[in-house]
Amino acid sequence: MNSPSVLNYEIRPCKYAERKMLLVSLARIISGFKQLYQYVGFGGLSFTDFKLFHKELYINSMFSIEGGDFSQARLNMNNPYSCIKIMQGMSTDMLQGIDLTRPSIIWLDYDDVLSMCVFKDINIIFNSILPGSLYLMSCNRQLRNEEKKQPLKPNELRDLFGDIVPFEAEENCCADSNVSETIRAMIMNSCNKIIESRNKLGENIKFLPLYNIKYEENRGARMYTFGGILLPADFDESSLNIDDLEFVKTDKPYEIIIPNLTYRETMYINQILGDNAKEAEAIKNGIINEEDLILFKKTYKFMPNFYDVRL
Amino acid sequence: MAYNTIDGNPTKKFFIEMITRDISIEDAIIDLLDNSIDGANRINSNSYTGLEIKITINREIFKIEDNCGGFSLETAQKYAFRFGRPDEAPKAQNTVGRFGIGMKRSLFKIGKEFVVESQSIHDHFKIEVNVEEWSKKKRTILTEEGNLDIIDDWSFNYQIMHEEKLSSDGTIISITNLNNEVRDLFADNSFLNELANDIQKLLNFSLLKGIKIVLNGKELLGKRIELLMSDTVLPYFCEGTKDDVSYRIIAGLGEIGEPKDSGWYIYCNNRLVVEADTSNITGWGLTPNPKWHIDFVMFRGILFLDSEETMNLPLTTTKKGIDATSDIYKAIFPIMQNAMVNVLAFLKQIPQMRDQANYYRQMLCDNLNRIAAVELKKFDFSQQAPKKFYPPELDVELISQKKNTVRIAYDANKTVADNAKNHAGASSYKELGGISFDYYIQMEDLKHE
Repeated sequence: MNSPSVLNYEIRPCKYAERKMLLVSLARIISGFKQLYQYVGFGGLSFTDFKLFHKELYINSMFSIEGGDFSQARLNMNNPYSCIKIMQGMSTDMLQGIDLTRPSIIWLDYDDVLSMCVFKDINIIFNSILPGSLYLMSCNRQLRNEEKKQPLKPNELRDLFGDIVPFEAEENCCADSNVSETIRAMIMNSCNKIIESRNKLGENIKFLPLYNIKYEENRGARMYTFGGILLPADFDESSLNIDDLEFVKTDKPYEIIIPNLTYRETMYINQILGDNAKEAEAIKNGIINEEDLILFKKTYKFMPNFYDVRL
Repeated sequence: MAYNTIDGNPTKKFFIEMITRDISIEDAIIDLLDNSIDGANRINSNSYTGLEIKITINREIFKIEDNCGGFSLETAQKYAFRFGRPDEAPKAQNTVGRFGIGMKRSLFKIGKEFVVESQSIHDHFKIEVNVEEWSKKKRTILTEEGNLDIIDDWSFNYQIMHEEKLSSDGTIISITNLNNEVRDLFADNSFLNELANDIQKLLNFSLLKGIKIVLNGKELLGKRIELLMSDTVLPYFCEGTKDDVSYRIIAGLGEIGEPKDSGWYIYCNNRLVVEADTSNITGWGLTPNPKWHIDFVMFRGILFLDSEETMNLPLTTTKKGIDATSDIYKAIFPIMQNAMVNVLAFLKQIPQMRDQANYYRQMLCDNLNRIAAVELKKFDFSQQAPKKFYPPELDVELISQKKNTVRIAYDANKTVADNAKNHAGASSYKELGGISFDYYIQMEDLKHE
């Protein structure tokens, strides 16, 4: 909960790219619902996602939950817009104070590993939100036994999280190549239990998973983002208008990797992008390698530009 | 081609053994009390004041008398004394006597001779049964092939009472020639205490509605299950209907008092079938909720389930527990979990007040109103948002101050510690702890961030 004091969120390139990806898809999705949304997130001190969604998605009702020990004065001083209501306390308590039956985009970007708190929040959220609302969560995806310095085994995972751990979980379910899918399955199990109950008690709804994203910041945490939208059961999913976006609705986690290129290289590649002959020439001449080019094509629309500016 | 027949009918003795095997004596008695309360409910479902059930138990006799309206001969013929409930039976109106073998099962369980006398607005009759004779009773029938055959006769005889009216409409059941194990139990003092407990628990709602139950001359009183509330402190609430079962979930805070009062209470048609449960049947220790812990002592959850068709209620066959695998319970269960997430999130914060915590809990108990389960069942919650708990205010400042500290404790050699205490001029070991910790921080230049 104190990660902003370790690193300013605004200069983490993968996180930046992810945020832009969410922005692009959210803008498409919510435009189809013809309703005004509220945003619920963990703004920290930088409120980066709040600033972005306020300006780009026109959201004017925002709640930032802050569980860290920053003083109220410091939080208020950093609050960029008066439309953001800062709520100090743990998310499970604070979510109870927000009317989640209103159209909502909820992105809980936990800065720790998966904990029971995530599932308590899911319980609160999915018992309240109505079709059209979105739930997203991010966390450090590592699930390790710190004493043994090894990924958790299925039985250790069950000790921590109980019966939402998938029955099929294998010995290496928390190894980095599998852990994202394990987390996703656990979250889906929790959400679906509540949705099943709501349907049994008379509603007709479904949860459509949209986001399944992983990335690793340079020398930073290994992150995982999951998210989706609650819909009427008979909703035509194609009308969300996001099927052309390669980072949504992926079966395997979509990995964000940003190639390490200089400003000049970036400008050059932008110029020749899509021209097969020139791309081949650049590779042949050793200006860029093929792997970086592929990565660049996947991420260039979302990459940040950092400049040193004298203030 | 001639067919040989195999008699597929169970013998009556076998049948009696089967239906009485997995019912306890306590349950058999409670089943009979349920029948009385069903009668009370038909008279006035809101209040049972003035109605009374008297139970007499000793080595010689078991007797239960009530003034709860009785039941008609037709009911006796069609349902009460028939084995199994016929499909055309009217819906059992909010009763728990749903298996159709309730009364008979209880009678067989307790003794070998019984008399059931009932006087209702319709009629007044008496059924006298000697089980030994009844089980040997045969009758002759004409088979399809035209032969005479002798088969078991399952019928009971009754007599219409024209004289000797009861002082008010009601039922009197007396059982004599008690079964051996029953006779011993009935003479056992601890059995009577247990039975009294069971009645007070299972018939809690009826007792609170005013029915008077007297066991061997002693009146039994119902325990009040209460929630603490005020204008601003309101419990979590959710209600609805599924497949003819209406449910109402209420969860919030209760008295600190006894830890054994904490947990979930489940009423099925007003019968308390789960009391102060802190097991995983009600969601404790199941993701995302923790196992029960003393910090959650103030948690109270009440689930009311009601159905005109009692078959739909998620009861076990002994009617003493909840069938957690039933569809209705599975559908409601996530809401109970949600109620717990909401209430426990508040309760978890109280211990962070450390030495102020108990004072705070006591203050809540002193300042909030107590609303009993009977009232909560009808309480109008329409003014509040569903699925939300409105907790009392917490002193956030106090909590956040305390949150940044940890308590360090360790053992040290007494001589060395006394020496150090003198040397540091500390008046207590506690103070010595503080001084030595500060000294280390200062010497190693370990300041706050």
